[in-house]
Amino acid sequence: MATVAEFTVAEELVPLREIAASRGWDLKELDTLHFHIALPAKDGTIFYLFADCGNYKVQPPAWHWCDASGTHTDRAADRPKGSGFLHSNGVICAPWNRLAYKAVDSRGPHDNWTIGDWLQNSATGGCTTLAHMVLRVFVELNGPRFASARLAA
Amino acid sequence: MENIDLIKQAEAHLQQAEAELESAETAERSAEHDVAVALEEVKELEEIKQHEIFLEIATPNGLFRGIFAENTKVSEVIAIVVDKKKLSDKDTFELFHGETELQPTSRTLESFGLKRKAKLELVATGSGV
Repeated sequence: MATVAEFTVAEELVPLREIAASRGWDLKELDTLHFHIALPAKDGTIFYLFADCGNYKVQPPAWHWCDASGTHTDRAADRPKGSGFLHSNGVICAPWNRLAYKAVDSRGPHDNWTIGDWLQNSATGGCTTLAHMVLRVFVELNGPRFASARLAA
Repeated sequence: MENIDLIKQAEAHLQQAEAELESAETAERSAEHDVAVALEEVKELEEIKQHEIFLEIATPNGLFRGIFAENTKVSEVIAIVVDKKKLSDKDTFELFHGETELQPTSRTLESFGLKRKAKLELVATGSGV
């Protein structure tokens, strides 16, 4: 029987699949709780995100930068450089990313957030679905806070 | 010992080659998609009247497609899309075209240089923390 997380992910992947197909973003669903997606940045570089949706939405997904195959995660060479959401620690800095919480990941910039409250966190805003999160990352990779180069390896 | 080193080196090369192949396959799929989109665009552009713009907007609830007059205000586009895609009207949304945020929303589509067809993204307001 599917878990609540699996049901939720299945439901939220519907709009994401539609957008990815339209934009030519390579979306690979690895299993019911994990996928990775290729997103182009404004300089033409393609960045890859690996999403771990275990325990979603009790907790937000863990969004890892990864390589094209999804084999390696969190390598400096695979992470964009920038500011705002594109934090210099190498994690997406938002309440909707599990890795932004210091209690979960030592690179997490925030020890002042409680992970169980991520949907109520004012910084989450309306960004509460998988498609919305991916769209926000795409907008950041194509906006002024993207600094073009990848982080040094 | 030397053989072990050589095998390790070969394995590393193989891994690298596999990663490069994966990247190339992604690029190939992307190129195929671009060709299909271009053909579709030609067909769509033939149907759009003068002073109209076909917008394809990626929203958190999926794609919205519609034709708007060039002099439609961005705020009007956002309101229509929020309604049609059943997005929360409690959230404030921003519309993006590539690097450009379409602000202020009192401006018209044509004032941002949009013509004939454009792909936009609609997301809730946020700047990262």
